[in-house]
Amino acid sequence: MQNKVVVTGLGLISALGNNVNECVAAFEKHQSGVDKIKRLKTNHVELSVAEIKSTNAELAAIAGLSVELSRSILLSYIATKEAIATLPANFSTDFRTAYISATTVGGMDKTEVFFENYVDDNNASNIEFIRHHDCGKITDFVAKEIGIKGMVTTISTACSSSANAIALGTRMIKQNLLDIAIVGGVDALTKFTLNGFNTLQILDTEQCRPLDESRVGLNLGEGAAYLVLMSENVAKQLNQEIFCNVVGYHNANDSFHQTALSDDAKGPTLAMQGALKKSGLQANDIDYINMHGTGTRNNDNAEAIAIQSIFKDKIPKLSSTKSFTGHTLGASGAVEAVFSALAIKQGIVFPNYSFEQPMENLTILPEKIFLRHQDINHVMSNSFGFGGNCSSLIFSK
Amino acid sequence: MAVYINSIGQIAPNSLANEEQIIAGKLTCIEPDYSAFFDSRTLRRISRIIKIGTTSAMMALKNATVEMPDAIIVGTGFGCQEDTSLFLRKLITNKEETLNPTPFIFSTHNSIASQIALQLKCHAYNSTYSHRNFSFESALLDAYLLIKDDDAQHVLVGGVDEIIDDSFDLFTRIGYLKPTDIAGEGASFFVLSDVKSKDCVAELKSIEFVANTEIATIIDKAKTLYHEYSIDAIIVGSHPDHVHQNDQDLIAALKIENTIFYKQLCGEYATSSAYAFATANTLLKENKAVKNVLIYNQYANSNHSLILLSAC
Repeated sequence: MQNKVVVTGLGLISALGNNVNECVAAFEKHQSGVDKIKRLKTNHVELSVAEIKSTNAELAAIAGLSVELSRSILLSYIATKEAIATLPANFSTDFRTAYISATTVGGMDKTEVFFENYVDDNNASNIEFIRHHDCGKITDFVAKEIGIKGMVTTISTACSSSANAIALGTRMIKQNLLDIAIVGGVDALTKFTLNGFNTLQILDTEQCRPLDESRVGLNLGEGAAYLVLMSENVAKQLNQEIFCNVVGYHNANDSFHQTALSDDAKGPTLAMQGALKKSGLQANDIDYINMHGTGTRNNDNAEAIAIQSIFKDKIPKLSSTKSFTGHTLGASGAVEAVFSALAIKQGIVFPNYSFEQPMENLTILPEKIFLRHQDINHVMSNSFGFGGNCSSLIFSK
Repeated sequence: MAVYINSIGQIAPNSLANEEQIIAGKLTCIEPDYSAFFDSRTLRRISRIIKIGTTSAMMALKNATVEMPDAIIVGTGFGCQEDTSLFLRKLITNKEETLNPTPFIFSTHNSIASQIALQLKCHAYNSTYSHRNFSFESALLDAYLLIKDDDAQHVLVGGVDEIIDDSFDLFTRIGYLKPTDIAGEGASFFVLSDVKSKDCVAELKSIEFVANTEIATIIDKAKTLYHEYSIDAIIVGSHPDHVHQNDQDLIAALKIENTIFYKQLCGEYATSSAYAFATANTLLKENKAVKNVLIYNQYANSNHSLILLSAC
């Protein structure tokens, strides 16, 4: 007998706001978080990014934590605390609880500051920054702060990282190995990732235009998002509000190129088909797709081809939310899972703000305006990344 | 459904034929000729951790006579440090201009698992865990779940970390490497399957890892396993000359005579429990009197793991 897995808590911090409600309000007002670089110290001021406006000191004040921590820890902690707000104080001791996080560059924001001195001076003094470098540090720190005494782990599969964290938590609850899983991911904006993507020439200097024929690249963002998953029985026992069920998940590899998707979109197609199969749903049951939709030529083309091949002439409502949030890398799967849960619970369709001109030879037409009161029963969320890592999730009412 | 360990592929700082290889105070992998494993263009582009990881993975597949796994899962505590350090240093010295994208492309933690997929043209499940001393354990748990849940028949799973000059220096300064530790590295991969191959000697019975927990709780868990499986050997993550207090406590509590240390062979690194997992397999193969082996690993007195293998 497999447990039904439900979503009972959401936490989110992004360029749109410091919590779920602020982020949704920004969408409703069509206020994108993308702007020219203001906070990050970089020479590439020509680029547009989706920065969280708060400084580390301001984030530390919100979190009630030390300003010496990495930005990633501060973001992760703030979103995790929001997600677990409705859990009783004893949740981690009375229930089998895991904390499963995800990130691509961990505490790189600290490492890169340290290395500025270290390249010239082997005895550079701010050595303590290095303690923040590894991915596991963020997860361990937050797990300890919220009192987790069980399983903790961190997934790092590039831009699909937190989608895989959601899938792992779901699988373990389904198989009755856990009662509760707090799952999600985080990435702070860093010079390391900004310059990395810049060398690949896939960053837009203006607001990105996902799914638009004129698109030239993505905007990096930053943020953290976490979901509380639990078995339906535990949710009832704890009298939790249920946002939706997690019904489908699939991880596949495109196995084509380290940083680009194949023209026939094998990985994205397998991920979406696999998630549908796991959920027992048919393609035409899906009411809304929150696409990966980064705004690069390659991603959007491949994703659209995969969607058209699966959904044929019955393509559901769809959009990419990245022209609002930027691409939050390891956090993006969880950020968009939060939007997917809200789409079901509140009947929202999120807008693909910057869309004007359909992609050549493709029929994909994203939603342009924020919609409420839609009848949305099943949502698919896609996350594809470097290394060919492709994951799709399906949430249901 | 049982989960069998059907093969090992390993690149480590020692081998049966060699003494341990220590270079500049670090236990350093004895590497094979890679030309049989990669084309020359790939070989020029990828860093050492990707080479040792991917090659060990290929060896494990060959030893299991599995051509295409149903899942590829890698654990790496610190990921691709050489490329990360290279890109970071260039970024600073070149003041963010004229950077080569290759080190960035291969700096992501999932580069190893994705290189394995690329070599095999494998479209199956592919994941990477990066959580300190739980990196390999997480990968192993994921593999175990996939097989138990009938999502996969043959899973390629491994742990890999590299030691580079920067990390050796920095880990020593911040105490990740204690004065009594020898820095190490290695790649140990395995094919886990729901069917037993003819050379298989062990099955994975149990895996658990918990954070923020006292050693007393872990000893209780270990005692429960001890009574359930009558464990007759224990492998702990210490150098025999410097046995960690937690290891001493666990050994004393379980009263198991057959205690094996391995850090003198592979050194200290985040995924050294993958080396221990290989050691447990070898033990079960070479000493038929041993039936149940427990592997204990810990980090910072708070994060502990217990892995149990049984002869089959």
